[in-house]
Amino acid sequence: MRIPARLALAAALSLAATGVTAGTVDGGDYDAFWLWAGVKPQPVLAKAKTIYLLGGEVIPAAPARLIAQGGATPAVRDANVWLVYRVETLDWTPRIYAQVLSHLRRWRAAGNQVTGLQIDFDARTHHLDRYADFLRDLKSRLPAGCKLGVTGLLDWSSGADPSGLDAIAGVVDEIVLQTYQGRHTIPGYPAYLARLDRLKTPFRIGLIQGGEWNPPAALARNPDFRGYVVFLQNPKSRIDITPPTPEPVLDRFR
Amino acid sequence: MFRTLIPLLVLCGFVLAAPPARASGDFTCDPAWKLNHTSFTGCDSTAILGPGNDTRVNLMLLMGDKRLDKLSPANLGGGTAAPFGWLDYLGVVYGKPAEAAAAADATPDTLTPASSEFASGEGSRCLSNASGASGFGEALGATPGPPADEADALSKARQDLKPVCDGTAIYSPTIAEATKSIKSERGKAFAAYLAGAAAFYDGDFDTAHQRFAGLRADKSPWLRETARYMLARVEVNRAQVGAFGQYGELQPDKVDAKVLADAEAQLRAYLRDAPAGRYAASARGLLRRVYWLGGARDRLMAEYAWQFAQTDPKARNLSDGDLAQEVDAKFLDKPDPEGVTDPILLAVIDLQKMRHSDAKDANAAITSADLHGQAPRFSSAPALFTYLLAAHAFFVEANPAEVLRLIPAEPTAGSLNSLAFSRLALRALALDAVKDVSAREAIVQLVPSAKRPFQRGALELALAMHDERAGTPERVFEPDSLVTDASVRDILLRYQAGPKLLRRHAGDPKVDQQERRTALHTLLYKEVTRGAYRAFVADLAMVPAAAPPGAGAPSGPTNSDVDPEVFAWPGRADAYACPALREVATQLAAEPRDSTARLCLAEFTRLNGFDHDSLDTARPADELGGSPSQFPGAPFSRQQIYRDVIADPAAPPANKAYALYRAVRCYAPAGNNDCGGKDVPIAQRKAWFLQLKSAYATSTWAKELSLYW
Repeated sequence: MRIPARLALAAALSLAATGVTAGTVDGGDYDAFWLWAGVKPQPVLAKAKTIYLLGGEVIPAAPARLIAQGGATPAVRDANVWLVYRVETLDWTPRIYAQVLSHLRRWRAAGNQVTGLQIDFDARTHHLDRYADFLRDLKSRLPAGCKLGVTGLLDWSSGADPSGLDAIAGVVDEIVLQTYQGRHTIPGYPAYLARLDRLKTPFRIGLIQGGEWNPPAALARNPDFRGYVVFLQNPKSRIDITPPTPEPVLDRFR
Repeated sequence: MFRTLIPLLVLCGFVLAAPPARASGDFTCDPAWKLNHTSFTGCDSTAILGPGNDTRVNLMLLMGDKRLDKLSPANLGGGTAAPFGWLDYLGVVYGKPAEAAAAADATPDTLTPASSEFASGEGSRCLSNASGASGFGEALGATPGPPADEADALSKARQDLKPVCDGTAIYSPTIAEATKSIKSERGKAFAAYLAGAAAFYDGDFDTAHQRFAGLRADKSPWLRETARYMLARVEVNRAQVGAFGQYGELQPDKVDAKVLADAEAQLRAYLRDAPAGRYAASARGLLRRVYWLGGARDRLMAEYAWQFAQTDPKARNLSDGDLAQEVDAKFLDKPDPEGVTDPILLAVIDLQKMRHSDAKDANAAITSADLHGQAPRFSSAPALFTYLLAAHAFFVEANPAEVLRLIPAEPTAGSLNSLAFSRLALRALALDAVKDVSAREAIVQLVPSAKRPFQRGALELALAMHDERAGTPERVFEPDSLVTDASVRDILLRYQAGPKLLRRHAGDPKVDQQERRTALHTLLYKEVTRGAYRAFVADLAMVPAAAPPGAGAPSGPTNSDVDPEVFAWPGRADAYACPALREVATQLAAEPRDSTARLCLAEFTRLNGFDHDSLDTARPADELGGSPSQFPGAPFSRQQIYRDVIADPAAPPANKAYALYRAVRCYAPAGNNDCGGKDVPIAQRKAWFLQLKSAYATSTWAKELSLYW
C-alpha cells in the first residue's frame, strides 16, 4: 500500500525528527536574537543579522501605561532591529500610540536599521479575532517601510480558530512562534509544528538559548519558514526573566 | 523649568528591567493553586511573604508596612484567591480608578506629563521638557520679572522649544534668534537660562554649564534654584556620554569617575541648600542614578533605605510600584546578601535565595546557618528576622514544627500589616502541615484582620485546601462559608465534589445560579461517563427545560464551558445513528456492555466537545482539587470504548467497523490522541486501519478512511 504524504510527515515527527542542529540551542549557530531587558549582551550578537530588542511594556492600569524597558536608546550598527513591545493589554490610549511612534522615530534617528515593530502579546487562541483588529489598526498607523510582526503561541498552529488565525496572518508581516514556556522548551512541541502549513504567513521559530531543538524534517520545506530567533539568557540566570509570550498552550480550565 | 521634577530617574533613563511575568486583563496567568510555592514562575505570588513571590511583590509588601496606613495604596484591599503575578498586583493596587486617584494624591507618581511622547522609564533628558516649560512660564510672571513684551517673547521661545533629544536637530540657534532683541537686565537673565536649557537639550554640556553657572546667584529665586539643580543635572548627563553600548546597556568601565564625582557633589550641594526644594525629590533620584552608574552599591542601598523610610509621600516622587520596579532592576539584579544592611532589601534577597529553582546551583541556596549569621543586620527588625527563619524552615527544610516553635500564637486585632499577616498565616499553614487540630481555627481567626490586597484570598485558599484534604469539601459550600472566591469553589465542585454534594448544590435554589449550573453540569457528565446511568437519567430532570444558558449568571472565566443543557442531547440520525442521550443511558443502565449504546455515548462526547475535557483531567496532587475525587469512577476515554468494542465478540460487524474507524481517527491529523486513555503505538493504529480495510472492506467506514496517523 502506498504511504500517504501526511503519514510520512507524521511518522517523521513521531521519530522526534532529524536535523543538523539537533539538540541544545547554541547561540553561535544562529543569527537572530531577542535581547530582553536585564539580559547582558553576549558576543554572539556580533554576528547577528537581526536583533529583536525590547523597547517597552504596555501594562494594564487605569489607564494603560507604556513603561520603557532597556537602557539608553540603542545604536545597533551591523544588524537589523525589531523594536519589541511586550503588551499586556490591547486597550491602548492615544498617548501610547504617540509614544510608540515617537520611540520608533528616535530609534531610527539614532542610526538603528529598524525593520519593524514586534508585538508580544499572549493572545489566547479564541481571542485572535480581536487581536487581529488591534493589529490592523496599529499597522495603519505605522510609517511606510515599517513592518509589523507578532510573537505567537505554538497552539496557534494547531488548535486555533482558523478564521482568527487567518485574520492575523493577513495583517502581519511575520510571526515568530515560541517553542518554550517560561525559560524552558515546551515538551511535545514537534506535534504542534506539524500544522504549521496553516499559518500561510512568513514565520520564524523562537528558541531559547540552552533549550532543546530538533527541527522537524518538514520545516525546511515550508515555503514560509524564515529561520530562527534565539532568546538570549544570562549564563547563570540570576533574575527570573520571562521571555516573550509564555504559554499557556492548554488552558487548565478550557 | 522642571517644576514638577519628574522622575529624575527617568530623565536619565533610569529604567525598569526584567519584565515580569504574565498578568491579568487580556493576558492570563496560569497559577498553581496552592500557598506553598518554592520556585518562581511569575504567576504564583501570594500575600504571604515567600520565595515563590515576585521579588517586587515582596518589596511592595514590606515597603507598604512602613507607610502610614491611610496613604499606602497597598492598604486598599481587593484581590482574589488565585496566586497572582506582579501586574495583577499592580492592577489591584493601582488599577481601580477611584483608589488609584486617591493613591496618586498621596504619592506623586513618575508618570510623565500627559502631553509627553516619552514613556515612563524612558532614558531621555528631554522627558522633563514639558514640565520645565510650565515652570518657566510661572517664573516669568513672578517679580522681579522682565517687561511684559519681553516676557511674552521669552514665554513663546520656551514654548517653541520642543526637543526630542534624538540628535536630529539643535535648538541653540533658534533660541538665540528668538531672544536677540531682549534688552532688560531681567529679560537677559531669563534668556540666559533659555540658552542654557537649549544647550542642555542639544547635548552641549559645556555651554549649558556656563549659562547655568552665571545664574546661580540670580535675583529670581526660581532661576537661582533651577540653575543650581541644572548644574548638577548637566554633570549627570555628561557622565553618561559614551557610557552605554550599542544595545543600550550600561558599560561601567566607560563611565568617567571624575565627572560622576562632580555630579554627586553638585547634587549634594543642591540638596544641602534646598533640602525641601522644588527639585529635591528629583535630585534624590539623580543621586541614585549616579550611584548606579558608578556601581556604588552601598550608597545606592542607603538611598533606597531612605526612600523606604519616607512616610511622607511628598518627600518622594515615585510610587511604591515604580520604586519596587527600580530596586528590582538596579539593585536586586545582584541578589547577593553580602554587605546588604537594609533589612527590607536583605529580606527580599534572602527569600529569593530560598527558591528551589535557584538552588540547583547548590552553593547559591541560602542555609539556615547563613541566615543566623545575618542576625546583627536584622537587629532593628527582629520580627522580620524570625519570619525569615520560619520561612526557611517551611519552604526550604519542609520542617513545619520549627515554624511553630519560632512563631507563637498571637491574638489579632484590627488589620494586619504584611509581615504580621505573613507570620500568622505561615503559622496556620504549619499547623495544617502537622495536622494539628487547631489548624482550621487558626486560619478562620485571621479572616477578620485580613484587609490588605490578596490577604483574604490567601486565607480562602488555605481554608479550602484544608477542608478538601480533611475529606470535607462540603464545608466550603455551607451557607455561612468564609470561602466566597468563585474560582476556588468552582475548582472544588469540578474536581473534588462527590455526587451527593453536587446534587444538593445543583438543586438548591438559594445557591448562586452559575454555581448551580456548574454543579449540575459536573454531576451529569460524571454520572454518564463513569457508569452511574440510572442516577443520570433521574438527575436529568434537573436540567431546566427552557433554561436560557447563562441567563442572569455571572460569566466567570472558568465557567464558559458549563452547559447542562447539552445533556439533553437528542441523538443523531445521520452517519452513525444514535437515540437521545437519555435513551442511551437507559439502555446502558440495563446493559452496561451494549456496544451500540457505548458507541453512542462516545458519539455524544465527541460531538459535544468533551475531548480533553477538564473534568477528565487530574489536578496536580499538591494543589487545590488535587486530592482524590469523591466522585467514584475513572476518567472517561472514548478510545477505551472503541478498543472494548473492537475486542467484543458480541459486537455486530457494523459496530466493529465504526469502532475501528473512530479508533484510527483518534490520532488524526498529526498523531496526537484526542480520545483519552493511554496512547497506542503507530503500529497498533496501522493494525486497526488494516483490519478495517480487510475484514470490513465493504463498510462505509472502510471507504471513508484512506489514511492512518
